[in-house]
Amino acid sequence: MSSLQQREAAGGPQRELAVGASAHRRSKAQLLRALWISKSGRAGLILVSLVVLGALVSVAGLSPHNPQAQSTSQVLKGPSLNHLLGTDQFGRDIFSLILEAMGVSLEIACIATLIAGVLGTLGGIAAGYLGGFASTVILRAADVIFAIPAILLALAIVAALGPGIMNSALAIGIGYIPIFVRVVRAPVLSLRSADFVGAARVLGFSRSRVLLHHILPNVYGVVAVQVSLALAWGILAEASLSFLGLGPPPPTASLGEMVYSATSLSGIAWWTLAGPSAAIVLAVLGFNLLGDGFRDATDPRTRRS
Amino acid sequence: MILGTDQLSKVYRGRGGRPPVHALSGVSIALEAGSTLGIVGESGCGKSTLARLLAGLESPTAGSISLAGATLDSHTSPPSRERARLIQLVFQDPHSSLNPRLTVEQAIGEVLRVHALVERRRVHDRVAELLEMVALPERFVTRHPHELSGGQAQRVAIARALAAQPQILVLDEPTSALDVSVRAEIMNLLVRLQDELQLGYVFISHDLAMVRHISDEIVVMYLGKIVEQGPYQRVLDAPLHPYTRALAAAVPVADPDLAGQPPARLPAAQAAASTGAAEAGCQYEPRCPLAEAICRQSEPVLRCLDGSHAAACHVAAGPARLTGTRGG
Repeated sequence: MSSLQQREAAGGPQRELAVGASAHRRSKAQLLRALWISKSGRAGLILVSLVVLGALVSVAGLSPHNPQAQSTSQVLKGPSLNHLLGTDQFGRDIFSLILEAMGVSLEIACIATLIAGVLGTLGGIAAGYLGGFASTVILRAADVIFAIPAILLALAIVAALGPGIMNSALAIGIGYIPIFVRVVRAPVLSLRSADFVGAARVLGFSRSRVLLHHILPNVYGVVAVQVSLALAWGILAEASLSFLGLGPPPPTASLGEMVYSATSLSGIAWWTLAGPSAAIVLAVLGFNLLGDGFRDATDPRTRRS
Repeated sequence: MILGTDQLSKVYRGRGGRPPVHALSGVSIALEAGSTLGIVGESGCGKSTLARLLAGLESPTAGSISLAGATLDSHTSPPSRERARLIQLVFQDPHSSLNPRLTVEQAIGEVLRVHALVERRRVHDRVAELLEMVALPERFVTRHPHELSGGQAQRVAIARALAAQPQILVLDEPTSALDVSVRAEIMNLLVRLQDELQLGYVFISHDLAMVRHISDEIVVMYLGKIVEQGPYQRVLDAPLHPYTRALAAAVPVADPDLAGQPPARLPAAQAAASTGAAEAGCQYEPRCPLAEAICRQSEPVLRCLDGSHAAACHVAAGPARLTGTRGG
């Protein structure tokens, strides 16, 4: 035994070579690189950056024109160097309006995603980790929300609460909660029986510490994917609500409302419809691609390199 | 006795109409402070269930566990802080027992902070100290589990368990997921730590050769029950139960003078998981080369046959048979 101990002392741990990083346990920098390598991730990252940048430009007051400034001499002008996407029936610059509306849209989508993400993730963790009665209650409640078409649910909520940015966000967010619940619950179910969670319990850590420090950080990947997809859905849902006249009331700019008022003009001024529609498509596409990219980057089975 | 169990049983409910599984039935063990109890058996014999019950990850169906003189209620569910300071568990797969997102320092430091074992500013020093105890250099503090080899990860897992300053370590096959070359290093580390810290070990393994290196007392389990129990020399040199003999025969012999003899083989494994204690007779009877009529009729109980050396076997209990087959 003593000779073995000498051997251990002589070259023990140093002799063991560190193994390579396993596919799905990587640092943030590596995650970003993996996101950039994935085609959809890169496209999504670029589109989302453009959309966010545009919104920030508007918030900072750096739009080419004052979006709310009307001009009788500039009514329904086509795209030009001065008005990149033309003007609407009040002579307002459509490009500047889109930038402003994008900011509102992102604000609503972000608040909605925050509501859905926080409540849904907590619900999913509770349903997965606690099991039993609590799990049944949470999952049935999620099923009830899930059974109602999301846009119908949002319509009903806005109709009940009245229009406004917060109410829109709430209406859109609630419909997305069940998706977070389900997506988070599945990995929590398998993490619950993971050895390192068992080790944390044997080490005497409290239940909340096990949940928040050991289980939650290991579901960030699926949450990131869902956050992207929820933002895409949020923008689309907000546009739908305001198209139907249930968005934030004027003068708040809104992509859906712009599309709605353009439908009657599209015969004579196609650009009034094209601009806001393209903006919605690009924003929704961007967040969807980003979500796909996150999925590629965090799930080794679908990762292409 | 620092750790003991009394008639410990664990029954898992059968799902989807299947019968309940008796993972552990009537297991009584005792561990003296600073000594090692080896638990041997093939997969499905309930040894990992025993480890989880001892560590408090699951609660027993019946029976009780006593820890440092205090008997734990059989329905004490979550492991408490006090329990964590007494008993710790080391898992088989070192990588899965470490949180992939925490560095070595975060993982070990968390134990120190939760139990308030050192002052906040001393945490780093204490982590380095613990790493030194398991023969890892201080620079490992910033590593994540995926940057560690199996042996290194197991050392970190042991250091993390030691951070709670327990009196008992339950080692659930701590070397079987490791390369053969690393196993001896971990075993030597465990022996050294036991000497330095006066730790009590419950060492669980399917490999009798591994257990003999470290154990003072050996318990052999088969389908959730203890079939043989005694001091390690007695169990290894003069096994009473035919199952223990078959296990001993399965250990490769390094001595070339003895290697020529063909080893006795275990009969083809039956369905390993015990589905119920309903059938009369000895559980091992279908595989037993020595089975007699009585083995099919009544189940043998664990009886002391030779001092503190006990076995649950009708045939071994007959003294004529015992001397006839000893050393075979």
